[in-house]
Amino acid sequence: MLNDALQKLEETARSPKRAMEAYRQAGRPVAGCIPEYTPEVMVHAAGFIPFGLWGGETTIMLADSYIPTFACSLVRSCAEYGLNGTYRGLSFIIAPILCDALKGCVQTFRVAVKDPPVLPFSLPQNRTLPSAAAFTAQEYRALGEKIQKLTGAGISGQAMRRSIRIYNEHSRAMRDFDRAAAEHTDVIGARARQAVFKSAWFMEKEEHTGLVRQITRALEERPACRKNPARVVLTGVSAGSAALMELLEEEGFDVVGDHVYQDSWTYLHPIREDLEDPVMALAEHWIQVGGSCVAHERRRSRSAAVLKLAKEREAGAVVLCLMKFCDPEEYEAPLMLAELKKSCPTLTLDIDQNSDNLEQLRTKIQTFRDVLDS
Amino acid sequence: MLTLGIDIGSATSKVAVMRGGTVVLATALRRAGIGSDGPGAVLRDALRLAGCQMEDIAAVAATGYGRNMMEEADYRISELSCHGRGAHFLAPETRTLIDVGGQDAKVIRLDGRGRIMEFMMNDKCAAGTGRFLEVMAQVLGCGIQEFSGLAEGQEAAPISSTCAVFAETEVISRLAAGTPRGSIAAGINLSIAKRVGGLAMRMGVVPAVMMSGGVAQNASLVDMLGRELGADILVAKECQFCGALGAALLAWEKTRASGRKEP
Repeated sequence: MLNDALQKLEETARSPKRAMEAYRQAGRPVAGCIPEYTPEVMVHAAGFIPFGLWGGETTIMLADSYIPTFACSLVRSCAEYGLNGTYRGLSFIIAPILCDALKGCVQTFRVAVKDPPVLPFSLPQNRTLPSAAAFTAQEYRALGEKIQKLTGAGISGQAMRRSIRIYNEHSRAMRDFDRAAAEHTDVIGARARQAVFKSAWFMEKEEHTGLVRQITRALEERPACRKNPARVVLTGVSAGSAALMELLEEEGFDVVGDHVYQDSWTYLHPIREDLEDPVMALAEHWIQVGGSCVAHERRRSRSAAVLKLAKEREAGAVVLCLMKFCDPEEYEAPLMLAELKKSCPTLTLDIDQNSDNLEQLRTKIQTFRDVLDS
Repeated sequence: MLTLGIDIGSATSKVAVMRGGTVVLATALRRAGIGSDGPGAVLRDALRLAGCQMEDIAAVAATGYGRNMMEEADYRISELSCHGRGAHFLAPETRTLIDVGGQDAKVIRLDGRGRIMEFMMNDKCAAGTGRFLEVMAQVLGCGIQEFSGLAEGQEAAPISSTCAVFAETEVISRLAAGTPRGSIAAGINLSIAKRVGGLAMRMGVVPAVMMSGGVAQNASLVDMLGRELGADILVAKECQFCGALGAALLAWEKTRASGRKEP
């Protein structure tokens, strides 16, 4: 059962396009969600399958005309897939305006990609202002109206509450898996761990919750087993490809936790179910986001959160997966690295979806292992 | 115990044969790197110079970008670890090692025992590497060996591009404008010195500073880099063998620690 569930999730993580086609052939409408902090719950409540658009490993040809080479590979490959028709078949795409590169990506879709249509929305950065939650809720309501105008699908309060329950249940399942996986690295290596988290973006949450619960139960029935003494936690927007995880495995690293948005970090906080207005509950979820490079904080909390996680999981090192040319993350990196290195050996790896040259990454990882061993 | 270190880089292959982790029996170099017959040829050269055969070698460690292609290797070790160990062997006072090879540039901070405390590598790009120099030497119509002499004592013409592709165009424009070749060569050296110096300063420069790799033979560039960093730079005469020596040393240490018997 463990292997069957893992295999299903690994296949989905490897071939998102196939997963999308399968939903469409089954008559299920699918809507694209460009990260980060896109309100998937609303898409779910509107009756669509939210589908994470994380770009991919592709050669950039068409997007070069719109987005420069010094934009992050996530945005460039999303634009490429939009322009070359890979995303055709999605009912619509929603995209947050969280950085300049995403703004350029949305403009590219508006100008050059008519199918699927893109629905942008803004998230406020001054989140400590009393009006911030109300502004966010207003943006979400406007987004809901755009979805209804485009597709005819309204979003009722009842549907929103149901979707919030489903998403909170999924988050609980993911947190439980995360903890169990850290103590069973003999079964859940870096690749398998990443596949479980990555597949969540491409699968209906109810189904994903069921499969992840199966895996966690199977793990909990086994005795705890740590495969390698070198335990690391990852941090970044995305920890890159399965090939990078394979390199970490080959060099004897156990990944035992992460502060990676694409992986477990998105599941940290539940959405409140006790508020009368579910849209406001969703807005407050954004307001309480901490430790993210795209959510402004007066006192940055990311490095402290990463170090706390490393301590909890008994990890001896941190790997910063730095999305190459990601403005918010590269801006934060020097300060964060200085804070991390004071307490924990830290390795920085450049994440670039559009480059398949792993040799430099291998050299860095191998050297880091030598440093830790010495 | 004899150990052998082989450093298979993008442009050259180097071998060092050592006895007991202290005595260098032979070093050899071929200007042919990964994907060529260079590694096999340089291995034969080194064994001949050391007066031994492969069967006499207790352990082989391979390093460099071609380390995974070396079937005979008992150990495959990253070039940063090997360069760090090699630098400590050549000059134990080294605390900052700058290695500029054919493919990339690395800055390594060492402790008093030659262990790596921190390291940085340049991006996947020819800027600030030996490959950049090779391309520029071709444009100037000279070999890489003559390049350093050409730049010696010349006033540097400004070369603003660090990208090998753009810099080539810029150099051709300078030649067309009648700028002396020596000034252009000095300008190219200065652009690399600034690029590599920037990488080193991002990590912090702790003396003594050593430079290794083939580019360390370019005296004009080393001088410019020293001025950029405000530090004297040590260049060992075996600077190109730093990685191979480190590999041979680590092979000796690992074999001794594992208790493996000598052949």
